[in-house]
Amino acid sequence: MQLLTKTTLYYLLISIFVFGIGGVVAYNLISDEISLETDYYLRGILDRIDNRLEHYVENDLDVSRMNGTRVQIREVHDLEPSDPIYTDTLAMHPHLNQMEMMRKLYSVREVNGHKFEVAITDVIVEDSDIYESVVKIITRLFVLLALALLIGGVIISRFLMNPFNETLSAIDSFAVKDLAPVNLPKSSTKEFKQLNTFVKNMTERARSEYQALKSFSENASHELQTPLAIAKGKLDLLLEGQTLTEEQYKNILSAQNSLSRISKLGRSLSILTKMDNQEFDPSETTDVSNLVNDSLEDFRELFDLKKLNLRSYISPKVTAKLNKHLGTILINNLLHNAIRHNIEGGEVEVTLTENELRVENSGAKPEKPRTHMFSRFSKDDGTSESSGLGLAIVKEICDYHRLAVDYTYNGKHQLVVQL
Amino acid sequence: MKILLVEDNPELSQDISAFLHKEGHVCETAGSIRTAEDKILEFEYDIIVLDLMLPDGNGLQILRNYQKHRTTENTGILIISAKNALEDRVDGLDLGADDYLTKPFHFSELNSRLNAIYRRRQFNGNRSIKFEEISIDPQQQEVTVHGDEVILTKKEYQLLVHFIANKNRVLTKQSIAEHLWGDHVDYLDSYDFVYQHIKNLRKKLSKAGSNDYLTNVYGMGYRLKT
Repeated sequence: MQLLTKTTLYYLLISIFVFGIGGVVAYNLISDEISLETDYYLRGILDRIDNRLEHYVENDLDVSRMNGTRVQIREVHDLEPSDPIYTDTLAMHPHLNQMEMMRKLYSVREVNGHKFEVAITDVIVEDSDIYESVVKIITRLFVLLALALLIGGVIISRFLMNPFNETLSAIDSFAVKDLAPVNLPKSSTKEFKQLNTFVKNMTERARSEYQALKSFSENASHELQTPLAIAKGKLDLLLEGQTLTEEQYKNILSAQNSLSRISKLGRSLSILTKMDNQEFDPSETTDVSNLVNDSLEDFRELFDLKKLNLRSYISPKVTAKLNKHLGTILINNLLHNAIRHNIEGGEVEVTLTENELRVENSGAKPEKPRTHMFSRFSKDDGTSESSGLGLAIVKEICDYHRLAVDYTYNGKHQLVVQL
Repeated sequence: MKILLVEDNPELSQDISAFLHKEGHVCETAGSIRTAEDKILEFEYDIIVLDLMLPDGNGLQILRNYQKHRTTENTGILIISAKNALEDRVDGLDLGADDYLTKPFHFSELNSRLNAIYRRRQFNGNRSIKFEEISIDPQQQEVTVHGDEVILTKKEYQLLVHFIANKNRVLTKQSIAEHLWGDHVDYLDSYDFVYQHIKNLRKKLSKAGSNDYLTNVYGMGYRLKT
């Protein structure tokens, strides 16, 4: 529900409360006022009757001629004169022929020694009528108010919430790798100003930290290579010495191996970082058939050396939206994986169709669960020379291009990339 | 060879130039684009070894300026860079660099590459490589022993050239593997295939009547002994 609709509803809820109290107050005021006015009216009639009584008495006329539907006068002797007494009473309505609530004025008047009992009744507006009217008025006002608020709310929200909506879409389209700062609309609303300031500061911070991180991780993996080059060079210089023992050779060699592994690890991480930073164009259309054939050619010797039987079924001219550089890494990693986790004299089968690239190879059942296959630094055994990044990179490259990749084991390792 | 080494890291620069001196080359060093360009203007070098990440800019700038004003086709350029990004490689080679070597590298590898560039630039690859009774024609990739041709595979040929470029130096199985297979090598758990290739090379050479100059060093590396 929209914020403005919500506030409108709350306002209406408060209005119901206020209108309720207002109704009670209005009812009381109107009913009091009507009683007062009726009493004045009756009093006015009494004054006129007083005058006419005087006239009647002077001329010795029969007062009963003054009687009517509203006025009852009769001469009395045993009653004392009294001020008017107002009472509510039920009486027959002259036209409606039913008992109605009436206001009655009762008084004993004394005119020139004669005493008359005077009763004047008049129809008064009934409480239930006032109640009904007040309720009608209040409900209509309320409906009017509700309609005005809702319609007004929609119209007002259009321009009142506009800066907010623009800010939202600016946030939505914001990416940390954007080169320009986010463009936020100007607003005169205090809250929106605060929001914009906050969003601006936050996105700026995100952007600058991203830039820093990006250049850091890129530089870090590159800067790493120079000290590695120094270390490797020093070891090469050591090897130049002619008087090394076997033990010393062994140590130099294993140090060099470790250096190579660090260096390759750095490069793998650098590729992952670059993908995280979206530095490759994933919309390139690449001839996958060519890539696979080239890689198979590169690997042919490695297959032979491990005495692996390679079968490949490569459909020609298969293209896919795949960055060429990443595609090469993807295919190489898949092939390396098929060689590494294979048995001597085992088999590798590479199939490329319009829809998928499938690499199958013989090998022992993996100990780790299927889901861990693609996680970074996941290895079958800690001593292995592998970086544990090969399949993680495969997965990242597939994600990068929104391609599905799956691993299954049914007597053979099977990796399938949906193209 | 007269070599200009443009590398901003003093220690690496020192080690490489020490290595090159030992190889019998003249090696001068520059740590920035400015000093490098001054030296290039002043002297003529056989090969410029160029690092890309320099304190005052990208080394490709030197390459660009040099190509505009170059006076001789004899100078070769080898890029050594921490980045192995495809773009850098292509940029450098597009700008006329002869080769690209990714840090960290084996000095033996550097030596092999420098020799190859030198041969290509100075003699158009026409001068044959001679080692005792073995003679190699780099352009035809032909190997002869006592004048008789020996048929080698591509890898065996590369191996032989690499050994001759680094005679009397111990080449570890790892450095040989990296020389022959480049980046693919890290996934192989053993260097047994290096042994296979060396075995085949030795067999073919001795069959053609050559002495066996290759010696095994503690089973960890090989040396071509003069």
